[in-house]
Order: sequence, then structure tokens, then C-alpha cells
Amino acid sequence: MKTFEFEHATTVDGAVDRVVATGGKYYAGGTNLLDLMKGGVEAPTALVDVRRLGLREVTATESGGVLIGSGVTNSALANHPLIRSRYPVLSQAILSGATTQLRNMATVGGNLMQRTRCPYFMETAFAQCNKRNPGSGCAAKDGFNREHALFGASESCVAIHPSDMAVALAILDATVHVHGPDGRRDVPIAEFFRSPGDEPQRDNTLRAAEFIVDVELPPSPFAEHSWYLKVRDRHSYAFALVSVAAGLRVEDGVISAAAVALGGVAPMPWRVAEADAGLIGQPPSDAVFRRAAERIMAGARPLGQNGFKVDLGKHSVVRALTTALRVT
Amino acid sequence: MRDVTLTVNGESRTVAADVRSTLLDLLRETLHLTGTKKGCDHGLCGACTVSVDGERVVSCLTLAASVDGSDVLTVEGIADGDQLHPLQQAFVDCDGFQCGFCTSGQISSAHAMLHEHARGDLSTASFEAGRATVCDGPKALSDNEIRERMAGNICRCGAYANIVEAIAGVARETK
Amino acid sequence: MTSTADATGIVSTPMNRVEGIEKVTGHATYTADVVVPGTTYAVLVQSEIPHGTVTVESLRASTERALAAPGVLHVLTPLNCPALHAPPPQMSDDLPLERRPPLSDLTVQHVGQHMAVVVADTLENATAAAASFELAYETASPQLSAREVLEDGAGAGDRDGEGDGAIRHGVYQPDHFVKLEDEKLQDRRGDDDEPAGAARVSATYTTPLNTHYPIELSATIAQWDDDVLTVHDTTRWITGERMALAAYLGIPEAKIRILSPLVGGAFGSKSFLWMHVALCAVAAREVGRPVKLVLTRDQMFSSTGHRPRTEQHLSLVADDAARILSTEQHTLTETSTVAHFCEPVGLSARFLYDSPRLVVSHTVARINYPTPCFMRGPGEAPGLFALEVAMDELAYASNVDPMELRLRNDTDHDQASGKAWSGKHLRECYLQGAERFGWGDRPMAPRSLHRDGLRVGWGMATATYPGRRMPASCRVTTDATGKVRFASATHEVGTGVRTVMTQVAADAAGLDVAVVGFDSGDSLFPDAPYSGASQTTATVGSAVHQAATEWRKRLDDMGGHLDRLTPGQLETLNFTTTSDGAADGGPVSQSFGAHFCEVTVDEEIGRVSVTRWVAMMDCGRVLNPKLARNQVMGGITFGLGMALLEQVPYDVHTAQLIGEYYLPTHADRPEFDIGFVDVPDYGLDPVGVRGIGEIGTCGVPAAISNAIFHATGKRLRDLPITLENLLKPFDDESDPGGTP
Repeated sequence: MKTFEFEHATTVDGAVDRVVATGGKYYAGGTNLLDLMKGGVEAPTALVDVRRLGLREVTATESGGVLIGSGVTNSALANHPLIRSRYPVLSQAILSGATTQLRNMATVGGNLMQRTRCPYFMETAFAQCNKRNPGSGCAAKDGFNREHALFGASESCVAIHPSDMAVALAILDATVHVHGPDGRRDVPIAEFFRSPGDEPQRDNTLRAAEFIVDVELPPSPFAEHSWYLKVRDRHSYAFALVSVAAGLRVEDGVISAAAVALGGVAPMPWRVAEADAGLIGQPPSDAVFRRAAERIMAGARPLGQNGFKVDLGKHSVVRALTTALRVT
Repeated sequence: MRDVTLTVNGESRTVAADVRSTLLDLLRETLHLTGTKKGCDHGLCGACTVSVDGERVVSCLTLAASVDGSDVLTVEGIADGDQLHPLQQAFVDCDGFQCGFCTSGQISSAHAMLHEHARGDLSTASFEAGRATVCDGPKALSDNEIRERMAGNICRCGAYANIVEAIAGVARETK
Repeated sequence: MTSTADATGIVSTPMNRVEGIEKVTGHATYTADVVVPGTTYAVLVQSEIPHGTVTVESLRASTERALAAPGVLHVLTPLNCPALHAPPPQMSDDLPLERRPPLSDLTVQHVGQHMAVVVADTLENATAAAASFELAYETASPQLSAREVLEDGAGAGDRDGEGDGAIRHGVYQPDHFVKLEDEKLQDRRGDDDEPAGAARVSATYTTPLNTHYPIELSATIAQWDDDVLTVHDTTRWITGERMALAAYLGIPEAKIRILSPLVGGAFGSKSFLWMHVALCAVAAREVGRPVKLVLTRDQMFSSTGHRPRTEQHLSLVADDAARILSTEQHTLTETSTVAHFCEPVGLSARFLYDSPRLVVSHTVARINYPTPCFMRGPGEAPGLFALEVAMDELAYASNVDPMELRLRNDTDHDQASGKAWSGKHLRECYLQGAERFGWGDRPMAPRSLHRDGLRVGWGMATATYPGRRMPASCRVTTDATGKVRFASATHEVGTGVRTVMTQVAADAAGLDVAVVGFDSGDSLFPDAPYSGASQTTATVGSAVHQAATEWRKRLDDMGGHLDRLTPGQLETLNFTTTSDGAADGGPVSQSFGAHFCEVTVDEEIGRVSVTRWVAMMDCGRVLNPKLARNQVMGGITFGLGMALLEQVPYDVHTAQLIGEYYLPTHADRPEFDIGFVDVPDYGLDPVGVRGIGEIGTCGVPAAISNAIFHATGKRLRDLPITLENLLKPFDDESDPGGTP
């Protein structure tokens, strides 16, 4: 890889200033960025290392929620007592991803910022990749697209976002707090990722040099009944073909809160309001879950090789909801 | 080039490192600690597993400059002089390897994994056992738990069953 | 032949590996661990197109740019690489040694072809400079599959006036497998026409590109001292590599030393001479310093062989007692345009079941893809997939239990040669394996078994692999303290050869293992053949056994007490012997086995789990049960990958590698119950062994496919079997846990 400037930042403002000044990138665990640099996909002129900024705390908020520093490692987050007891679906989602070694290195901020693993993006020998090289075309549309999007894609790009953690954050209504040259912004998780549209090179709505400081979760109704189901080609250590984060609250035999999000099918976690709404007020049953599955998969636009994800997704939603219900 | 200082297996080492150098290449090519192996250089196989500041990582995706000042434990530091760590002895007795190339990574990983379990860390396998286990952590390390926690260490020779037997034996002994 | 009396109780014991402590402490030295002072680093530049010609301008411009980069010492390209010699035909006709030396012309024959070598002072500098290469090509239309070659109008010979016979196109039908004239790839016996019979199965089976994926990356360190070349290389063919390297470089073999003390897995790769090794030697000579070249993981897919695709058409006809009347297996497979290789798929069909009529054929198409080579169970792995699934289909067509069908068609001699087997205990494997598995409780109908909402299936398959033996030599040295070391230029690739040879030597010499050692991995040691074809124990074992027996005889002739010998007498205990290969006209040696497995299938999410496995093996004598069990479990895991996970993913438009190659992880493998019949077979060698390294894989993909059929009713004939094959439609609401 090409050489680069490297320095450890000591304050958030300082980190932002250095990224603005150098045009470089933030560097935390590096499990994705360093990999992309080895492959020549990313070639930042400077890396601003953010691992000495602290930002490693998980603390309870006054409103009964939790505040998660962006520097918390995936492992530390998944194993934190507050998360295990109050947001177990987040713990389970994180633990489904990658391997322990990688989870020990990767941070919360980095997990949100990771790029797609579309092989045409990852390998510079493929000339056609609009995400990596805007205007060059998209080889996946008519090529190998077994692992690509059913929703939220565009003519320019059909890649998915691979994060498991984000799918759980989606049903937990997380808010991402960022800090940039123009100060602080709060970005609801549903607005963090973006469809490629005409600018597939932008995965998310962050502005130039904005830095994720922490992620806040409100109190969750799903502590008792939630499940993260990940379906993949081998039993562990593979990206999702389809994944589902499902949360339910049942009171007096009726669903009083529900949220379902899909991973592996879009450039962002995929939630459908009608699917969630359709569960509320219903007694939990196979028929009710099947209806939610149909609703969340409505409007799926399969490509040449990923059509199986439609039925797989529906089955998986029913399975995740059923399993969530049965958690004791 | 920049100076990187690491405490490797208890010994402080300062080397002039290329900023692009991974911890793996620094250990192997500069410090000649060749026990840690390169199997893929992309975080896929686990052969390069070491512990940094007490947590297991893949050293091929660790930028050396980023971990300047850290403690590093490699497989060469796991034995106590000539005295094998129980894990190492168990691997020999249970035949937990064939070609041996993934073995450094398996042992580094297992060594860290036993600590993780002892402090109550979870794996996805833990969720099969219900909420109490998720909150408290699994008491015993079942074979399923071991397999999931070791899934990042690939063994192409397929010595998996004996590796798990070795680890499970040590886990039982250390309770 | 005489047997080894197990007087000392050393053989058949589960002795720990002699190199075990080194391996668990990180002190075991593999090629890339060797520290040579002054080492420089080489990184390859490879082509990104499958067929065409690279432009001279782009080579020149890239070379100039690379030479100007920090730390770069030298750049080798087709423009400046010293000419290498093509290997002689007797090397390249039968073996996948490339006829066309690397960097010898401007044509591109496949993606991943070596286009340049960049040498620099550090790995980072060499990598960056190599990445700065931008090559331009005049592309030519490639042929990327056997079907394409056939459709283009197959014909042997050159096309487009390319090459000089080194580059070839079209299809061909080789007579036999490598240099083994009896292993006929085009064979027939019996009537011309297929009989009518009572039951007939006829189907097409396919296996994809697979790659060995040893965890150790291929690595070479080359250094010259004047005109003597020392090469550390991750090779399992020390003797042959020295010969081939001498041929390519045009120097005498005596000027080359090859060292390969430990190999981090091979599974068929790391044999032969791969082109990057020759280039590393050339680079070292040009630079005047040692050069270290380690392939990247991506380069392992294109630069050290792989298992090619196969498409097999298989027909079985049986009478109304389910006895086979006819077997036909026709294979279409692929090799590169620059080397010969034919995956010998149909060899097992020639002898495995009693079949009066037989037709076997192999057609090889030359395509613009890297050179393939042996991969664990070459021929048997894909061939037994098709044959053993077809047998399962025949069992159902005949309404006979699958194992009963095997028993009815078991043979007592090798039909291909007419000779007896040196030993065969396949019936015991079937019966004991079935007993241990509980096969007797198996309901015949598919979709009969379920558990916890999952479909359950039980499948079985026969395993077989040849017992081979080649000539080998062994040296003995005895020191005054009574330590005796045996040495041969064989290779420890994880099979445990160093341990097992120590056992054989100690046993035959009547010594305690503590005073016996076995050394391998150096071309200065007496010659041994490549470590492959499951032949090492029989081959090197024969040499070691002969040497140790001779050692004991010499000592006994001198009174039998080491500590009472004169120096002159002690010297007579240092010698080298050579043992023969398998006797011409001797019996045919074959190992056999039976696999039984259980799978569960979750049809709603398309997930298959292989839950338990019973394998009974007849491999002759088991010298070390601990190592043997590990080897078979490893082989089964390897076969599981072949069945459910592995295919080299590549983009059909550009022939580029695309995506990840999945191997089984800890979480994917079954619970194992492995048994051995453990009856010595002295027909092949005096130690009583046949090979064990590959038979564990043979038949595994079929056992899994058959079990999946039993679970789901779906007959899957194309590997790998993936989620899409198993997923049931969302609208199909039949109860997965109840009646079908």
C-alpha cells in the first residue's frame, strides 16, 4: 500500500481538525479500513488514530437508556452488563458478526462506518464499481449478486451494508451523535445510512470530517423477548445472507410493542412501518408473524442470483419472532 | 519510519517500523518472532492471533503504529520457560494439530478464550440457554461454546475435534 | 514378505508427535520462518485478463515506475528475464509442470499469470511497488470452460498460430493417469451395448473448482553462493523439485539444495515445481542477495494448482436382484493451455463394484485458466461423489437398502487387472460401521425422520483409495552415545511421517524410541518421492524398515552391544539403503472404507448440519492410532467442505477471483466415531500399511448428499450443496416436523 501520515489524536476537536487539514481518515480498530488499504481500495494520505480519545464507556442515562462511546469495542459492548440485561438483541447481533479476534479490535464507530463487502467493490481488478469509482458502472447488477440487495438499491449500486450491530440498533431506535467542523449533530439510526441513489460512493449521511462520538439508546421494551437470527453459508464466521433483529413485548396475551429489521438485504437495516404496526394489538401467532413477514418483504426487487432471499427472508422473520417469543 | 515500542512477552522492544507495517510483519520480519504465522493477511484464518493488552486480535489487521506502547503476548510467551502451559501440553497429548501451522493461532486464541469465559463473556451459543445465562455468562464451557468461540481459527487439516478436546480438558481442570 | 514382529510394542501405539512440542510453542520452523541474513523481498505482479498479450510500453513504463519507488532493487519482466528452459517432455507430458517457462513471452494464458517480479529491501516497499504496476493488454477472446471449448469446435493442436506447442488448445483424451500405465483413463470391458436390466440410473453430476487452501502460504527463499543454489521451499517434492528446477534453470542438479523441514499443509498443492519458485531463484541470481517470496492468499488460488471442474455422466444398470450389469462413467474436465493434467475421475468405477460391462472415458479441455493439479483424493473425491450418489439412486430404483446394495456388488478381485487384492476388508467396514451407526434402524423412505422440527437423514458411501509404493532411500547414522538417526528426503506435511517412521525404525531395530530419530526435509538426505498419493508410509516406511532391519542385523553380527564396538565397527552402522517400489506383477493394493453420516436439515432457512459421522477404514496396519484417527477426521472435514461450502468463486465475465472461499470452521464439523479394521497388509510393503491420508475424504460428499436425500427427498447432484438447494418455499406450509 502507499504510505501515509499517521498520528494519534488526543481530543475529539483535535481529531476533526487533523482530518480537515489532511483530508485523511479516522482510524480505530482498522479491521475494515486496513483491509481496504491493503487491497488498494482506500488510499488515505493520512490516518488520524482515535483510540486514545477515551470514548470507551457504556453508561446508563437518566432517561433509563444507555450511552455508548464510539470507541467501545464490539466485544466490550456485547458483553457489557447493561447491554446483556436490557438490550440482549444488541449483544446477540454483535456476537453473530465476525470472530472474537475481530470483535476485540473493531469499535462501535467503525462498525457503523464499515464499507460493503461486495466483491466488485473490494477488488480493484474489477473496473466497474460506482461506489469505488463513480461513473465506472456496476458489475454486480448482471454479475455475481447472490449476496446483494433486495431493497434500497439504485441503478448505480446494488450493494448491502454488512453490519449486524446496525440491524439491532435499528429496532432499538438508536441515535448517533456526531461531531464535525460545524459542531454537533444527532442522527437517528434510520437516517444514518443512505440509498446509493446517484452518489453510491456515500454510504451514510455524515458530512465531511464528521466523527461519531457516541450512540444513545432509549429504554427498550424488548429486554425480555428479542432475537437476532443470522442465516449464512456456514455455521459461523460468514456475512449474513439474511439476518433479522426482532423485538416483542407481550402484555395480557397481546403484542404491545414490536420491531423487526432485516440485515443483508439493503444498504441499511430494513424496517417497514406497516410490518411493525401490523403486529401491535395482535395476539402472537404464526399467522400474525407470517403477515408481518409478507409485509416486510413487500416490494423486494430480486436480482439474477438473490431471489432466494425473498422466501428466506420471510421464513427468517417468522423464525426470529417465534424464537423471540419463546425466550425465557 | 517511526519508532514503535511494544512490550513483547514481557520484554520492552523498540524498533524502527514502516508506518504501513502490520503487527504481524513487525513480529515476524523485524523481531524474528516467527511463531505467529501469516495464513491470509486479511483477518480470515486466525493463524496470526496474538493478544494485545490482554485481548486476542488478528495481528495481520493490526497496524503496528496504532498499538505503539501496548503489551503483546505471542505464542512464544505462553510457556513458562521450559514448562509448557497446560493448553500446550493438552494439544500435544490430544494431538490437537497435524501440520501445526494454525497451532500458534489456536493456542493464542484458546489461551485468551479461557480468560474471556472466566470473566463471564458470552458467545452466540450462550443465547440458546436463556436470559439468565445471557446475563451471568455460561458457567461451564460446553463443546458448543468452545467451537463457536474458536470459530475464527481455521484448521485446514481438520484437527478440530482434538483441539476442542484439548481445550475442554484444560477448562475442566482449571475450574 | 516377512512381517515386523511387534516385539517392542512401539508400533500400533498412540505415541505423541515427535515435533509436537515445537509446534505448540511456536518454535517449529517453516519455510517463511527461516531467517537468512540479507534477505530481500519479492512480490509478484499477475495478469488481470484471461487471454491476450501485454503491451511492451506498459511493461516498460511500469518497470520504470517501480524501479524509482523506495527500496526497489530489481524488476523482472518478460522483457528482461533471463531465458529459462522448458522442462523435458518426460516431465511435462504426464505431470502438470508448465511447458512454457514463466516470463518467457508476452502472451497471457490465464488470470493470475505471473507478469513481473518486484524485489525490494522490505516487504512493504516491494508490495507497494508491485501494486504500482499498470499493465495494458491487447485482449483476445478466452475460452473459460470445457463446454465453450467443445462448442467452439474441439480439435487438438494450436490455434491462432500461438506458441510453439507449449501453448495448446482444444480437447484431448489421455490414456492413463500420470505415469501409471495401469490406471487407464479410457477403458472398457464387456459387451458393446448397455443391457436393458431391471433398473437403470443415468444422470449428470458436477463438481466445481476447489482449492487446497493450506493455512501455510507457499513460500520460497532462494540464495546463491557462486553457482550453488540453496532453496528453502514449502514443497512436498524435494527430489522432483530439484530435478525440475535444474531443468528450468539449465544447471546441474548437484548444484541445487532444497530444504523443506516442515510444511504447513498441502493436500495436493506444493508438489511439482510451481513457476514462482523458478522466478525466485532467478531474482536471487540477478539481485545477488537472498530473495524471499511468499504468495498472497489470492495468489494461492492461481499459482499452486487446484482441483479442476468435472462434469460426469454416469449410468448404472442392474438386474432384478440389484446386481450391477453395466457401469458407464464419462468425464469432462479441464486443464490450462500450458500444462497437462487430467482429474482421474473414473478410476474407481473400474473396480469398486462387480460390473461385467464397463465404459470409462475422460475428455480434457484446455482453457484459459491456471494449471490444475492433484488435490486430496484426485479422481476419487469427485468420482466417488458421482458413483456413490448413483449407487444410492440405484438402491432406491431397486428398492434395496443402500448398504445392502454395496454388499451384493462387493468384489473379491480387481476386475480392471484380473488380479487379487493384496488385502480387502470392505465387508467388515460396512458391517461394523453400520453397527456403530445404528444403520439397521434406518427407514428406507425419505422424509421419514425428524427431530426438534428439523428433517433428519442418514446416508452412506463407500471409500477407496489406492495403496501405492515407490522406491525410496534411507540413511542411518549411529553415534557413539547410541543415538541412531534415520533420514530420507521426505516431507512432514502434517501426516505424522516423522513420528511414524521413528516408530517403524525403533521397532525394526529393536531400540527404544527415545534413542531413535527420523529426519526429513533436505535434498542432501537420500531420495524419496513426493509426499502424496497416500504413499509415504508405505514408501518411506519400506526404506526405513529395510534400513533398520539391516542395522539390527549388522549389530547382531558384531555381537549385539553398541557400547562394545570399535570405531571401525561403529562406522559400519552408518549406511544408506534403497527399497523398491511395489513389485511388478504383484497383487493390487487398495484401501477401503465405509462412511455413515447423519444430517439435519432446517428447510425454512435452508441450513444443513452434519451432526454425526461413523467411518470404518481398512488401511492395512495402523501404526499410530492417535495420528490415524486425526487424519481420517481431517479427511472427512475436508470432504464436508467439498460437499457444502467450497467453490472457487469467479466472475464469469472476467475470470477474476470474486468473493470468499469458505472452509469448514470449528462450528461446522460433526461428532466423530472412527474405527479401523487394522489388519496388516503385507502385500504392498513389509510394514503392513496402506495409505491413510486421502481415503478419509473419498466418498464423503456422496454420503452427505445421500443423507440430505434421505432427509428431504431432494436428490442433489451438483456440488457444493447450498442453502438455495434446501430452502422450501414460504408458501409451502407442510409441517416440517411431522408427516410429509
